[in-house]
Amino acid sequence: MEGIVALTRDTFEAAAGRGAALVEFYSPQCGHCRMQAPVMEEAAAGLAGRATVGQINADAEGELAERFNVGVVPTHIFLQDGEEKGRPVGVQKAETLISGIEELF
Amino acid sequence: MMARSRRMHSAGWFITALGALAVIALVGCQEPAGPAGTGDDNIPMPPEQAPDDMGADDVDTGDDMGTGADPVDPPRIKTDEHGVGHISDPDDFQAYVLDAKTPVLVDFYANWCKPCDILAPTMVKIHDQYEGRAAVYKVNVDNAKALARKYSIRSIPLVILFVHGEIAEQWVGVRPESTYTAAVDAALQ
Repeated sequence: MEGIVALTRDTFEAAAGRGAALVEFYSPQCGHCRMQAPVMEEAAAGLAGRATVGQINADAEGELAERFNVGVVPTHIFLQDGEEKGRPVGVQKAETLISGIEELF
Repeated sequence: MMARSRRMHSAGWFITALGALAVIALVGCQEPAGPAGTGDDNIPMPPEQAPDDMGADDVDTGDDMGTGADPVDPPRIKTDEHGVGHISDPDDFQAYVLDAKTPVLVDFYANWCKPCDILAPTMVKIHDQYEGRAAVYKVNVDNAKALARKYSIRSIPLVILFVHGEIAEQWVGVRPESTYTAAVDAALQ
């Protein structure tokens, strides 16, 4: 398998605070998020070794959802050194997510 | 009157004759079926039983007692510097996790996963704290693709609590130590 990491408030900084990172806020009950799961796997495979690809359960991680002002799931955020550089909201294609991160390099 | 009784007589004979034919027919049917049945039983059964029994005996007494028992009894899995066992083979997973008598926490991780590093000391602590009462094992998903597929692992760290071979609870991402220990304590009661 290729790397999607499950991020929580205790691990967010260590995993996504430096370098390029694609994070997705999702909810376990959200159907669109389930549809998005294979896309995230594809993005993780495409970005393996180049960027951190993480998922955040917005229901369980209210602090992070609040910090990034996430009101809709799925929400994808492009980060560079912890700073937000882009935010595709809703169901996305893998190419969109990969190219969004590649623009940061 | 006479004619009628004669007719009755002949009808009676006819019925008797039919009955006799039916009996012959039935016996006739049974006769070939009987020997054929027993023949079928007799002919395939011994060859079937013989190799099966021989095979089973060979496996049971030969392989299991000889070569099989040796690698199973002492732990075959590797343990890390903290004494936590690492599993990658589905057979080992069956033996150490699914067939375990105690609750088992399995930490699915990968080397590239930073949150997994953060979780690691918690798992070591629980491993030491529950020694003999509950077990903790680690599975590197990159070395255990079959297990990762079986448990549909999409993101890590993922910790699954197994009780008597069944998934009792699972957590994606790093949780406080008390989350894991509370579930293990509940399973121990």
